[in-house]
Amino acid sequence: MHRLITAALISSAAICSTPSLTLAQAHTESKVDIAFNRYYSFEQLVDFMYAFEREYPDLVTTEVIGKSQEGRDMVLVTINNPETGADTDKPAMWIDGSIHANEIQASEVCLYTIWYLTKSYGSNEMLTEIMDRTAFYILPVVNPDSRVYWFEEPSTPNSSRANKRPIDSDRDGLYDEDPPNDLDGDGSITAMWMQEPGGRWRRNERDPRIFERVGPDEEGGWTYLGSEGTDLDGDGRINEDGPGGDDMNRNWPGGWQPNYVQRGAGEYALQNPETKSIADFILSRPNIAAAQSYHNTGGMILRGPGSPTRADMYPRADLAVYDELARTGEEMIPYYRYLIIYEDLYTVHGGFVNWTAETLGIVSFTNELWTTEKYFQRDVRRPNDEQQWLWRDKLAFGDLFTDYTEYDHPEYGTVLIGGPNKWSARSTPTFMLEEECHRNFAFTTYHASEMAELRFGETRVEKLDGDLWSVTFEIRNDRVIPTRTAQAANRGIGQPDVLMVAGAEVITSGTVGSWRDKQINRANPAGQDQSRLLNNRGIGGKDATMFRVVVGAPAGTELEVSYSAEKARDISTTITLED
Amino acid sequence: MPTRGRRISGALLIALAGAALTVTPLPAASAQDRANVSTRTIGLSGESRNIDLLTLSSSPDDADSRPALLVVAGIDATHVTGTRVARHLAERLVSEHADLLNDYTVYIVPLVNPDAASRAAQRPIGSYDLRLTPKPVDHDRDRRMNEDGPNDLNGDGVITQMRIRNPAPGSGLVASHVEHEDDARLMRPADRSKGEVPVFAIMTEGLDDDNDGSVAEDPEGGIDLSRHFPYLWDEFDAVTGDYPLEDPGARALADWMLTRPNLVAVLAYSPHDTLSSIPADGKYDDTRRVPLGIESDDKRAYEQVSEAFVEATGLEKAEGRSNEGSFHGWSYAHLGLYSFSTPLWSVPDSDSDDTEAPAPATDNAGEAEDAETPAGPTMAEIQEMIRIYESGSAEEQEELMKEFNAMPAETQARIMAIASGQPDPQADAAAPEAPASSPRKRSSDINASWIAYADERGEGFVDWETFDHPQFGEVEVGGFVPGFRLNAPPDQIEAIADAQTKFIASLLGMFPAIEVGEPTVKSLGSGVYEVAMRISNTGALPSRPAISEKTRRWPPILIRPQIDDDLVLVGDPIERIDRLEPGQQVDLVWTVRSSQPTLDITITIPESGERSVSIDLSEGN
Ligand SMILES: [Zn+2]
Repeated sequence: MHRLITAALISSAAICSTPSLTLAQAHTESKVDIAFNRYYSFEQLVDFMYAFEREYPDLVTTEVIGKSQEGRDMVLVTINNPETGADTDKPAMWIDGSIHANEIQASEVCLYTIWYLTKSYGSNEMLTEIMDRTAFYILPVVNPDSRVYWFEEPSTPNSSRANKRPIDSDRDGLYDEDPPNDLDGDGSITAMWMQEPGGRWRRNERDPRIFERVGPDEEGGWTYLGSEGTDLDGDGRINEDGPGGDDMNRNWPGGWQPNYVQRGAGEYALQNPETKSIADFILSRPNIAAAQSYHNTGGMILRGPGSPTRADMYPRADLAVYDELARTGEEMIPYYRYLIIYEDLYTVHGGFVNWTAETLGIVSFTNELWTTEKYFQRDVRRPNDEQQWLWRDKLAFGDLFTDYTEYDHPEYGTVLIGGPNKWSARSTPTFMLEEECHRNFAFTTYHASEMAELRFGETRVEKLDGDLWSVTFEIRNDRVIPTRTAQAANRGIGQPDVLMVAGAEVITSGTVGSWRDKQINRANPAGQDQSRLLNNRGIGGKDATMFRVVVGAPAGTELEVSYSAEKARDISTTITLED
Repeated sequence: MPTRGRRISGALLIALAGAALTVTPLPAASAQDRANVSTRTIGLSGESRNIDLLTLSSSPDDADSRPALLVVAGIDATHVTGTRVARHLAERLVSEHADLLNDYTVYIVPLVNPDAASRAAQRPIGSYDLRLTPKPVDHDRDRRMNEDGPNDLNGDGVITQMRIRNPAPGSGLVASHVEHEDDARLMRPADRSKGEVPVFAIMTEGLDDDNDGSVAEDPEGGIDLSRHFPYLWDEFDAVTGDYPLEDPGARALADWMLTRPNLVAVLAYSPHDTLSSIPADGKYDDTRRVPLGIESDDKRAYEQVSEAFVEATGLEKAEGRSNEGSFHGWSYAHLGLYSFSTPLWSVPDSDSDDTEAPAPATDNAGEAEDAETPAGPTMAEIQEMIRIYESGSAEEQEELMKEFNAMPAETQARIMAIASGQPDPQADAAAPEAPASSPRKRSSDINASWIAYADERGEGFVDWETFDHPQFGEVEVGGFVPGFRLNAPPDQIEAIADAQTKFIASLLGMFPAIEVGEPTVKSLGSGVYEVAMRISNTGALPSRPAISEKTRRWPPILIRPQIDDDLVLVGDPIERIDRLEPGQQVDLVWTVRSSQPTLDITITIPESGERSVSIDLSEGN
């Protein structure tokens, strides 16, 4: 009863635009009403993004960062409160989805993130605090053309992964001329089966929808013909040159390798308009300190490297950061496991998070959304056919399956067409989608909240002699992510942090290891401007660096000290020279 | 000793050379020859200068469907010789080898880095590194841009080097070199394994403008295009770009190439050598797939081409750089094309006899001029031009450039010869920022040859002279003039162009030639026929290099009988031939059912397009 009233209040609130009514239910309503028990087309997603900008003009800006291969807008959302600083002055988190366009819920998780953050600003204390000191760059659809294709054209759970840059897959001089065809008109590409002597498959006795392999001495009677389609180009082969494309998650300039080493890599890194637009944007924002690129499937929190040759690009200090974040993520998202791409999956050259983490020094994860264990809410990693049918019949009421029908095929004669449709795997079932969105959003927001945030710690001023002072102070980072990853420091990525001291003549400057240290142990080279100290190692995660400057100035002088890092907000303070 | 005037005039030389290449008419070519050259722009540089492409063909409409050679120069704008020779080449080929242009297309991109070339006149010589595009880069990552470029301490108009004997402790300088035992003007690294104590710190001529202990470590300039291509690209170097092909000019060149299946071979005029000596074969990167040099199966072809090269040019040795990120490396290992590179010129043997020694750069007004063109400017006029150029305003310089570009090639060559001396901001192997190089001789031996050559020419090396450095006290300034060791003297350009013309003619003559034989037919009765056809390669090189079997970048030769595949009883309805060795023949046989009187077979050869042959099936009866 109580729930019914709540629902009634919410819907009337939406109609009458009287959000105050919702407060009684401790529910924060968004000015952009979105249901998260369903999926949205590319156009709908874009409309929502513009709606957020309209409804939350103080927090949201949209920007078209480029065009896709087929000319669609790449719409990026920036979430930032300008009253607490420009986005470029804060550490920022990059979030994207659907670089593999068939991995559709990745976009909904991005959308949910925008939805939840915007509605929470000002009403939820923790999220408001996070949003006041960080910025978010969110690109829900990296691969617009193929998302449109997946929704509008016949597809499988696995097709339309690449982009739509035409490729001559069968090397006959023609491009994309023999795609699969939706012969039974169900909107999906399913399977074709043919009855013939010697066939190695048979239909399950209890449930003829199930085809099962027969043993070596058994007669099956059915042959699997592959996915639904005809030989459009008359070369005797079926579906061998479908639409597109490059695997854009192999098209990034971190350890990129040509097609003959890495399938789908493209002719060169960032050849595609989609990847190049994104790279140019990210390179223009050195404040990006964290990245998440959503994929499906399997329930994973993945980090690099993608290739064993790049294992040394994750020094121990950085691994501690990755481990702490991802271990917490495992707790936040049941059935998700923290894994390493090359070790636990397969080798990937030129992947997006490999580029951001290894080449740009951004702490990056890829979450592989959805895992079959969530069907059963227990540890069923590989459900057998019967368990799947339980799911498909009893919970999805048959919506994930196209019944087999006979078809007169031009090459094969009579065949059966049917089977699991494009919704049958990989995408989170809609009634579980909101939870999937929320848990992943929460993990990524936690990831963002752990970007470096600096403050001055303890300060000690010591009078050495007359007007000569030794000033020692801490700069602390209470968050997990350092201002510079060890990889960035080791490889000379980006710019070092810089400490600046004004208000007195600085005679020497450097760092010390502890308050007890009498000598500066990493001193600014002699001859250099001592009022400006470059700090390539940055400030570590949950750590502090102690600086010491020796200055000449009369007592009472105010020393202005400021510290600047690319991936943290700048800080400054005043230290008075007095005993 | 070179005079100050001669050294400074190198700026004019490079400026004129760079500018000359952006114009397309070929002054020396006749109107008829010129008809065989078309010019278009394939893209724009970062500063919106045209990247020009010259297409040499007897039939502009068919140019893109004939087997083609692409010549590319000016990837490193320091290498003026490459750009100048490329331009001369266009003239030579249309006027002397018009016949070859009936069968082959030669594409020429003379200048890939026009933005750097436009800075060739920047003074002092060497203050702008002509390898680099003008993209801003914080080379020393100190959060300040371009704050410590080189400085012309001794005011001679040239950035050379600085050596400091026994640098004081605390100066931040470290001794690393000793004087060469054969010639104290040369430096070589101290051999610590023999207990040798280094005496000299050596660096680019300049101040430590930003007081960070390094000299000239943050000059202008951004991307070194010769290390900017996707092949073995170094992602952690300041001058290789944020990503490969970030530079719009380089990207335009790459994108254009990807659309040209008729490309057979690429020839780069650049400071890399694959022709005097062929690249190492059978060595791979850490994926064990991408060749560091060439595939072993391509060795023979490369040797053949190298022989032809040495025979045509006499260039038996050349210094070469590492090919990581190189254009020619990319063309080979990623695109799967025959790909060659030559610096076109190398240090002349100091023991060479008089006939081989380069002629002194003198006024060559005595040479016969083309009857159609008026007599060239006098010596005094030329000197006046140089003077105006050197001291003139930007407008005057531009005006002068236009005038220069309108001149006949001979006159241009003359002016270049008078101007003399060529800069290279980077080519000194001892400079701290010198590129990785793989010289076949130890660099000090090569430099011994260079200094002998400099002595012979009376230019190219500035003797060490002491200078009171405001930061380091007494130093010596001197060393090779930038570009001297990279560029041939202007008076040799014509001869190099001659040799290159010869080489290109013989290279085109070696090109693979795909012959399609007459089809034969045999009736098997009941409307069934056996049809056969022979495809062969009558050229001297394999139809594609072996690397192409990895890259699979281009479509194979496709042979398709124009008949429903249900009617093909035996044989593949599409035959694909990836590669044919020289002299190799492939016989294709189909058994088909047909009620038609004829059968058409289409043959698509990527380099030369599609053709069709028709078979009279009744002949088989
Ligand atoms: Zn994916």
